[in-house]
Amino acid sequence: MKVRIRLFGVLGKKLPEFSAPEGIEIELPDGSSAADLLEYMKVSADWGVAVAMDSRILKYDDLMRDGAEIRLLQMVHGG
Amino acid sequence: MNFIRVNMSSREVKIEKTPDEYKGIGGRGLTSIMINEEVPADCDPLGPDNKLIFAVGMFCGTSMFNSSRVSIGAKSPLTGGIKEANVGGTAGAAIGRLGIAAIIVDGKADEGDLSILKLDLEGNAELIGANEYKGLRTYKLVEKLHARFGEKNAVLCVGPAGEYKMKSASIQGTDVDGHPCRAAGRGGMGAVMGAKGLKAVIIPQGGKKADPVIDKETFSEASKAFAKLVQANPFEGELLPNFGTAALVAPVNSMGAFPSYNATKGEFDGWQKVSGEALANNAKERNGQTGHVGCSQCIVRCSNVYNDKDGNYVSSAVEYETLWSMGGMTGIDDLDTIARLDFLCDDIGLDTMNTGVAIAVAMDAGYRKFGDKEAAIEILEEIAKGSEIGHVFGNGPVRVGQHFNNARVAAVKNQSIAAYDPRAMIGNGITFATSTMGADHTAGNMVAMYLGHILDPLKKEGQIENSRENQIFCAAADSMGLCLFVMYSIASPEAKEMFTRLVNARLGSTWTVDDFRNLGMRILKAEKEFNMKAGLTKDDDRLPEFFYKEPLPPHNVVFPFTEEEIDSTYNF
Repeated sequence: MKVRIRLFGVLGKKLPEFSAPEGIEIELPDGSSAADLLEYMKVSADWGVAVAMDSRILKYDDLMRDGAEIRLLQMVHGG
Repeated sequence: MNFIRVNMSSREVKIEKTPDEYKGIGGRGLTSIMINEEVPADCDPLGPDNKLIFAVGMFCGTSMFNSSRVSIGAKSPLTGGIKEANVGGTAGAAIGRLGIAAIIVDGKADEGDLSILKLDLEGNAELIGANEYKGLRTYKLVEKLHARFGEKNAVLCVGPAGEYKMKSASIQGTDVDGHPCRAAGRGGMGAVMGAKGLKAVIIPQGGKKADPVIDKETFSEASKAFAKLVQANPFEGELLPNFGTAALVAPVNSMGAFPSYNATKGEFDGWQKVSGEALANNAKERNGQTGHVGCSQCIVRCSNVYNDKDGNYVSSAVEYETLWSMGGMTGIDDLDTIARLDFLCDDIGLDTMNTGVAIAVAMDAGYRKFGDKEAAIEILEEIAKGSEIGHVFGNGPVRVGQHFNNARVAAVKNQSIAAYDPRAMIGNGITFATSTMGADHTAGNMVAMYLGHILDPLKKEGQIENSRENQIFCAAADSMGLCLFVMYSIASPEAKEMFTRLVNARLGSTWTVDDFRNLGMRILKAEKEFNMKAGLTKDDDRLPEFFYKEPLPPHNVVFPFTEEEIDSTYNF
């Protein structure tokens, strides 16, 4: 499966190889989950990253959809 | 620490020791508990019996980082209930360092008569006639006050909107650069100040009269541990210094919860043009600034400086809630225009949220088209002039809805919601509906729980309980004089223990971890009690009808809670 990855916050600086304004397309095994993606990208758990697809925040075991745009976001508080 | 009591009718200024019953309470705790005790709930908010209280938080005046927030409370002319709006900048730390816990202003000057309250380094205060400043916008006012009294003074002031007693009028405070760009925006506190005839409060910085920290060694050790915690957190340590609160634009749009075009959509077509990333790029290209220090003793640096294409200052700081109210809600996707609107609100003395939503309600009614940049600026200039239509807009979105016969007004208790749609972040909807303050983004915001998988933003499970706990937490946090962002770092049990040590070192008290929560509950109960005495009922704890009836794209959902469920939020 292919997904288009877009990075927000300081994630572009942390992961320059996946950073581009229009996103980067990557190929993963069919049935990959959000956790599989984060592992593939070597995203550290303590970065506080949330994965969004189709206007929802994915749980780590949620599967991604082939062709989807996946946004990697950082944890924020409101105030 | 002392109280300064100012009567604007008799022009009497009295200094008194903080009464025992108010010792050890700061900020919102002090304003709300005092208002419930001392202000007749049925009084005219713009009349002499209302009290406008400036109360610094528990840590103001100490060496503690991020300890410069002053709470401003009164009976609100907007909500009809109790109100506390707190503001950063320089005033909170400066007042605390003068050994002043609170300034309580009551009475009312003769109509049209203006004064300023000038504090000195000994913690004394005097009223000075200020009719020469009548009608001045805040930037020009502060320029004149700094020229007269010295640039080292912090200033809290009102602009024309406050003098007109408009219900969206803010009280503006100076930042570390001396710009009056920090706002106690919500609830029309500027109208109360204007009604009293108080144009500004001048506070010298560098006072040395604050009550000493009781246990200096523990205070130093615990504050260092706290600072480490804050700086190690990716949100406070990385995201805010690079993008400020504008970092919220991408996540909230990515959850379909960014109310746009007067809350008809949950995603803004132009969100990428007004995002934190766009704002940071803009700052880089135009010699602006992210990571700007706006408040005294700040280690987070969430502020920014927005420049025009020639590198000239436009405004500081362009915040998330303003990018939403003046951007998403109005359909304006141009950062230059939003920054200009932000500046105008600061300069006229207006809440950007209430004002942006008011413009959006008018656009939705066909007064102007969504996205009409010139129209938004014209409306703000009408408010500044005090024209008939300016008064309609300056009194907030509910008044605008009445004027244009549009029931689609995203407000609770007459105060606009903030940048989270209650249909797509339903816990925020619970907070908006039930907060004693009216719809409010700092009263119990749940966005982090959604991003952190603690709650599903569209499912009812856990929302009411977490809104309740968040509201209790925020009420106590607003009493510390610390910015809410650093307070978010004390979520873990270990951090709560550390923070309790810090409070005890400051006060010489014997707080346990539970006492923080107890303080929050005490404050909310006092606020609720005042609101009930003022005539607010359960019917005021409701979202506008369209949130229950109009599905919000992209999720196509409505707000799902029953009245009974909403009413259970304050069961504590």
